[in-house]
Amino acid sequence: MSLKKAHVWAGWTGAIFTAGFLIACIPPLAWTIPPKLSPTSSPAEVHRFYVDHLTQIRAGAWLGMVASAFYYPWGAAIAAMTRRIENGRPPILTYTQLGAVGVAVFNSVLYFFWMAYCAFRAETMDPEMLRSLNDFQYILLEFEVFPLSLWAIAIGLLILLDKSPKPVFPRWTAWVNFWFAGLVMTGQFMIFFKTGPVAWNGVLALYWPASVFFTWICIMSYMVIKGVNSEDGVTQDADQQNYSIGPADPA
Amino acid sequence: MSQTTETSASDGPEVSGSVAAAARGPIAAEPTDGEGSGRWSVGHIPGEAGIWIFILGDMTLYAALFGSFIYDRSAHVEQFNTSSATLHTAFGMVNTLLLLVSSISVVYGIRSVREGLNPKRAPLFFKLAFLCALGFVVNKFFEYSDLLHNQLDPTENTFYTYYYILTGIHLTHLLAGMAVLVFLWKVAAKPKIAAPDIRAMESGASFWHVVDLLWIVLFPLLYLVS
Repeated sequence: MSLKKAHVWAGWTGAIFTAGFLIACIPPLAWTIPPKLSPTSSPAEVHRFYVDHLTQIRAGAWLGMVASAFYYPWGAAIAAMTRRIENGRPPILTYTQLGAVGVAVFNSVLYFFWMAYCAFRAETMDPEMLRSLNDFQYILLEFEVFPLSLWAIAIGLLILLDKSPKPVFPRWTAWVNFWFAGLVMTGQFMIFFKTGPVAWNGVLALYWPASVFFTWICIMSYMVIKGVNSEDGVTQDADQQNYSIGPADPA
Repeated sequence: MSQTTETSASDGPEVSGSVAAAARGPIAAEPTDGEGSGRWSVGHIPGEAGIWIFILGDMTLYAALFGSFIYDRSAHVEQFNTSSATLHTAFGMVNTLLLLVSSISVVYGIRSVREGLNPKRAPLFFKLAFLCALGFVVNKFFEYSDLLHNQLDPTENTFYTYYYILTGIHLTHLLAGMAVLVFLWKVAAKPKIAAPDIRAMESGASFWHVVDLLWIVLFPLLYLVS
């Protein structure tokens, strides 16, 4: 396998993550998208759901944990590719992306960890406690929004500021990132509601942000694959050895 | 679409004088409808192509919200009508007028910049638009305070959840739009405005018109429909 081929695969990881995450969550596996439960479900209902679907939920958590691993090569690939835009300057926006990748991956990992934890001893767990743990799972999934937005803003800014004759990503993809950054934010209001469109099983907290999120991942995944293929011969400057020390900006 | 994308991508980094001339050309050389109209010839996309991905993408959120609103409304017609009646139409009316005036100012501002007729006047138009936006925010503050004073908060019922979410998201857009207006007035005040500046200004102005447009849809939907 050539290095280029490995990098193309890193681009594909976004699509693999999307597929794995969604298959883990939809029926017949964990059944969290669309949720079988709601914020108004009684402790007994939550308990019954877990006990009746133990194997499916555990299998979903297992698959989701595997899928989560594919999230970070995708994030790292974008950061690494946009790195050359900052050549001659400290790579602040690149490092911002790397920080965000860590937070985002951890969130996904913790989400599936939590799913597994809820299902681990559900039969003997106090229903009241189980409901509370189940709420935690949804808050994990939907509340982490602005850290993702700022990540996308860092990517979008870099794409807009790319003055190279052969830009890393086409300029319009900057606006895809801003679009995602702005629109995913409806999810964050979920902590204020237990019913209606912004409750954790509602359109604005779950379905809309999830659609925007996975659309963003898939578009950027495709762009990384395309970008890796067209980077031949233009990235010498992104090599650490050629990275000049201190600012070399002529302006 | 792809063609314009390529064009904007290729002339993004460095714009030659001829591009600048081309950007201003159609108005100076051949006004397309009537004298001094300042309109562009057929085929021109205002701003850079990417901003339209953003704007149309943004519209998808509102399309989803309106769809979801109408769906929930059909399930609770009574509740939506009685709740809607508690909103003060005057607040909404004043805000509609403020945004319409601001949009017209932006149109005149962009036109003055493009035609290069009275460069001193352009920043004034954007300042006026900014003041209208500020008026909108102040008015919204009083409206929210009034509702909250009457214990009508987002958790009151589904209508109020939508009311606060829809107007809140719109307000977020408006605040971002105010930053855009400041940008427009700063660029308009530059001694020399180049073609990329005009393109950036058109992008910003397009966003502002969207902020206005969304309110024009929101206002009847929340305050008037019954």
